[in-house]
Amino acid sequence: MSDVEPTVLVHSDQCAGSGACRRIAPDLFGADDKGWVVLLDARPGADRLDDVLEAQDACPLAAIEVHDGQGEPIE
Amino acid sequence: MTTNLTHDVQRSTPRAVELMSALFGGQVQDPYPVYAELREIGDGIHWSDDLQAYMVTRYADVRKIGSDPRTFSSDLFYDSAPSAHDPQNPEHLRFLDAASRLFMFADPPVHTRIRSTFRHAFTPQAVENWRTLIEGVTAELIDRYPRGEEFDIMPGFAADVPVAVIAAILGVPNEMRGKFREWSYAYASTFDPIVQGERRSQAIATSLELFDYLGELVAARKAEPRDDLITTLVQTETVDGDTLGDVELLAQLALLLVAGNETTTTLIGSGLTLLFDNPDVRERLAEDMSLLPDVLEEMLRIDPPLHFVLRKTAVEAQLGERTLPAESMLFPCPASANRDPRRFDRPDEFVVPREDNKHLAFFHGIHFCVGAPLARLEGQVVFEHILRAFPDIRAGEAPAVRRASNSIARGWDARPVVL
Ligand code: HEM
Ligand code: SF4
Repeated sequence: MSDVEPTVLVHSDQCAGSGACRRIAPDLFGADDKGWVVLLDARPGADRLDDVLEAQDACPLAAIEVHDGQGEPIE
Repeated sequence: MTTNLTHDVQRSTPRAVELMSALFGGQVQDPYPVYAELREIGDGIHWSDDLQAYMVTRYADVRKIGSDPRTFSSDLFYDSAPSAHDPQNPEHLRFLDAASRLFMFADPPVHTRIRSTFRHAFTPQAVENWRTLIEGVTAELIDRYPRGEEFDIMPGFAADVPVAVIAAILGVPNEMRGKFREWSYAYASTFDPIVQGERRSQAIATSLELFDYLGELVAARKAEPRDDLITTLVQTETVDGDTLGDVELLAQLALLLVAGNETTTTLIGSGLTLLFDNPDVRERLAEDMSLLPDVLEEMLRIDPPLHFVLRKTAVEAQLGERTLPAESMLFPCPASANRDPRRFDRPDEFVVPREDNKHLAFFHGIHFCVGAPLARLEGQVVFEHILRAFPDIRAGEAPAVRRASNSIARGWDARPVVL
């Protein structure tokens, strides 16, 4: 993958606490005391694009969004 | 269905029409070859005159519908079977006042508010507290059967486990369980479009007994809080900072029964059948029970209990090349998506462990089954107990019978076994 710098957005009010995102990228996705997702880094850099896309794909609740520099969603 | 179409529907090919008529006419025992053919006709999206809706068969489209609730709305209670009623009948109206509030049939922000309380009760960690209870129920119900004699495992075991578990979770005393099961079935039957007329009135009257009973439980927990599910739901603040109203809450409690009982029952019947049909997987399990979570996911992928969900386009919508007008009813088919060869290698084979098994048995997006962690735990406990206690369990001589009459929730009329 390329030089696209992803911007990550999480909807913690939709999170079900599955932990799938944390297992993929524990340095980018954490959890609060209830287990709901907390975004640790919204601009993790181009070399993490694969990781954030994998986390987005793994979230059963579709609570993670990934955008490119122009605000267009990437999948 | 009562939708009045105001737009031109996009006609299906004669073959697709023929396949869907058989499928929804209740004539198909094994729907998977039908799904496979429909998936490859055109773009895999087909208008059905019988359903007055589009059937959506491919993985990418079904998943996209789940991830975009603004376009693909769930606010369709009044377009669906459980809303059929007689406006002159006060019981029917009282029933609808509660039944129409289900968060399954709501969009954000209403959905987000109600679900924000329920999600606390069903996290993977929270459901672990119910493991011992599920183990107890499983052992109690299966140990009643003698070894070496054939019996049908559906009515007295597969159907009873989820009812007993949810009853215990709700704090329903043991002596009420028979009644509770009868109520649950009556309420579930209001979701069945063929239940009309006098049968519907009867089902509604019985459902109201269930609602009243759940209302009493809610009042009791408010007066005397316990460490249980209803107390959690009564006390937990929603994302809006308020708590759920009484009728609002009891409607969702009733939803747990309809959404959770028959689906989990079907999973037990389907899972056992898959174990009988795949002796190699069973042998590997016997040696290494840690494979069970992967086995369970593959059961859910290859034969999910719920074959369809229901959505309605809020605005004009795009699926692949297809433009769907606003106000179109859709029947996305997770059971077909789960075998889409575009997404899964060897889709018709039971592969354990399957890499990247993101099946859609619990759907996808904000309505992703809130009870999934509980359903998974029940499945694990039940199959582990059965395989350990009865390692020689086998299929009975009498044939297993799939229920073809309900094309949405495909259960089992019979699943004979010998312990
Ligand atoms: C193997 C068993 C189960 C299967 C296959 C299953 C499947 C599903 C599916 C596909 C949906 C999405 C419906 C939609 O979006 O229209 C759903 C939603 C739901 N399920 Fe399950 N379910 C199972 C067990 C349970 C259990 C045990 C419970 C609770 C005790 C439960 C409670 C719910 C609820 C409350 C919803 C609505 C969620 C929402 O709209 O946000 N389910 N289920
Ligand atoms: S994968 Fe989704 S549901 Fe699971 S913890 Fe992360 S954000 Fe929450």
